Amino acid sequence: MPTPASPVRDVTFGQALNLSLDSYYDILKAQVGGLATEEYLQLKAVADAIDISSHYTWFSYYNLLQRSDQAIEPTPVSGVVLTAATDLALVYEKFLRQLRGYVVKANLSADDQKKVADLDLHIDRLSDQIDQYAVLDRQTWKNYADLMGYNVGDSTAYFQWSSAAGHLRKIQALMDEIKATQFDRTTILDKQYPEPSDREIVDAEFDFTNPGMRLRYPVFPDSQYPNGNQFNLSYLALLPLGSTALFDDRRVIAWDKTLDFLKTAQLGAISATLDKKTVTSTSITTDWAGSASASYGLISVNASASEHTQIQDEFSHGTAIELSAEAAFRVAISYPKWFRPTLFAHKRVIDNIHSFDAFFGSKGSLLYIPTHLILVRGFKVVFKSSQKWTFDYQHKFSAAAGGGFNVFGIGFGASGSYSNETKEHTLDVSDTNLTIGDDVNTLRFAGYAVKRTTVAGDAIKTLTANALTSDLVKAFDA
Amino acid sequence: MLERLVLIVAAAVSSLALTGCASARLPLCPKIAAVSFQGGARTGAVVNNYLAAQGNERNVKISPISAFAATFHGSVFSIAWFQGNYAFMLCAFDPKQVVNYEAVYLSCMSHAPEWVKIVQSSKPEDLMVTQTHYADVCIP
Repeated sequence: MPTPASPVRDVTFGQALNLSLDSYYDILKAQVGGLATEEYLQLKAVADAIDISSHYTWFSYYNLLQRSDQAIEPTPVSGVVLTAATDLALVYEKFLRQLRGYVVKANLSADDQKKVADLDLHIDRLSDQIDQYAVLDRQTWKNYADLMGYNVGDSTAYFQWSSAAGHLRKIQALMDEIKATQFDRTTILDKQYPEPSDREIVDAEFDFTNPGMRLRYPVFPDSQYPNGNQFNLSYLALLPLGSTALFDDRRVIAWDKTLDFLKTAQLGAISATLDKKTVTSTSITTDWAGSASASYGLISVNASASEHTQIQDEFSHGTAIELSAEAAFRVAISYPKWFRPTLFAHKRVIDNIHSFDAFFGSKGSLLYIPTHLILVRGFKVVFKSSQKWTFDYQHKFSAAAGGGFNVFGIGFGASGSYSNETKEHTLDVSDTNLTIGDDVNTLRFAGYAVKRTTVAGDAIKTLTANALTSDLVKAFDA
Repeated sequence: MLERLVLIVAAAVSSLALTGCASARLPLCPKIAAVSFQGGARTGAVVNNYLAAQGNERNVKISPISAFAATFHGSVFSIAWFQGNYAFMLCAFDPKQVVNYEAVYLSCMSHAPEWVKIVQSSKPEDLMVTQTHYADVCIP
């Protein structure tokens, strides 16, 4: 059976204009400040709205956490090549496990190595089971609460429901078993090592598994929990370990900006016009060197073939794009001790660099790590044309009608993509101007500043230099 | 005359051994089976690629009777060979598809003989007892 054609189609703007995603990339890069050495700007192919409000502080933090705790695809525009988004913590855990494997092999008896392997796999399975139960409960509990008129955060109702239909007790039993198994593993690993740097690896793993590094984040707005106004660091830290339908048990990440700053700061406002005077830019390719081989569309619409033909015809008369935003800024991501990128340059990594290809190779999951979130607030675009806009854009692309308009990766979606206090986008047609924009308070997650891990390149260079004569290396460099 | 009789008996015994059939019930390991194929994980596979290849080569029919066990039918020699090398095939995978491959291999190889005994015993349900680590290694 042939795969149905995608309803999302690219739209070209104007004729003989030099506009591309690079033009937007240039504007954003200029607004959010310069990039440090080995730092890159990664755009999101779908810049979704982030639900942040002072009315639900901890749910807002949870929304930021979900965007910060992400492994980075090694491409300048993420989401173009569809890969499963993975938590940075999960990828880092795999890295730590592999790194610790070298310590175990060098220092533990064969029997202890087998015991550690058994315990590792046992913990993995228990964690998977908890995740499965939590996801299942979250879906079914929300449906049940909506149906019965309960607040989704009503813990009393949730406990009652869970004892009959949920898995809360099982989750807690599994969590207890994980704690006991981790204790057994710690007993084996917690020893003196002849090589002091090996102890550093073991300590990093202890920090990673330390329950003190985690919080139970509310998965619904704080206001939907009867005791939501009591939520604070201690309250969420003291909740039982393990993810449930009401809370997600995650490693803590902090940011250098307050929620209030994100909602109100007047920083990096954008006001730019892209027209025939705009010169061709290739900055994405230049910045990302060999990693940027794809070309990226500027505008796309979710429309039928006949609608697309009409829209494309109108957009081909485009003369300029006015781009504006209330603010555009970067938010630094601060990782507590559970994440130690300094280990990427550990001797055991360098000595076995080819074994870490899955992490630091050209498509490695830790080749880039997120250092900042790039946020844009109050995004608006005006498309200017030499002719009147006649297609019914409001009817077709309003949030109520299902949205489906994407420009520079900012996706103006259906009502469902705007939640709680995030207002829907608006469309306005006025003679030769077509305006589509967010509410002034809507925050968009436009991308990341990411830092490239140079450990693999450096290590291979050193290995090669050590293996070849210096004259030969100089000859190649020349 | 006696020598000839001995030769005939020996030939008959040898022929019986070569052509005689045998069967065995052995455990499967679906989680490892899924990553035993080149070119990416094969979700839903229960028979390890290496087991299937040896089954073809040695004319042994592998019939899964659940996701966790299969019966093996073949010549006496082939079944004996399978029993002798079973752990290697049960625990065989493409290491590129498994991040913690050392732990998986260690745990699987050290417990596989026990899993074989349990599946062939009168208490095959013990396979899932925590101490066997079967679920940790083999359940996807």
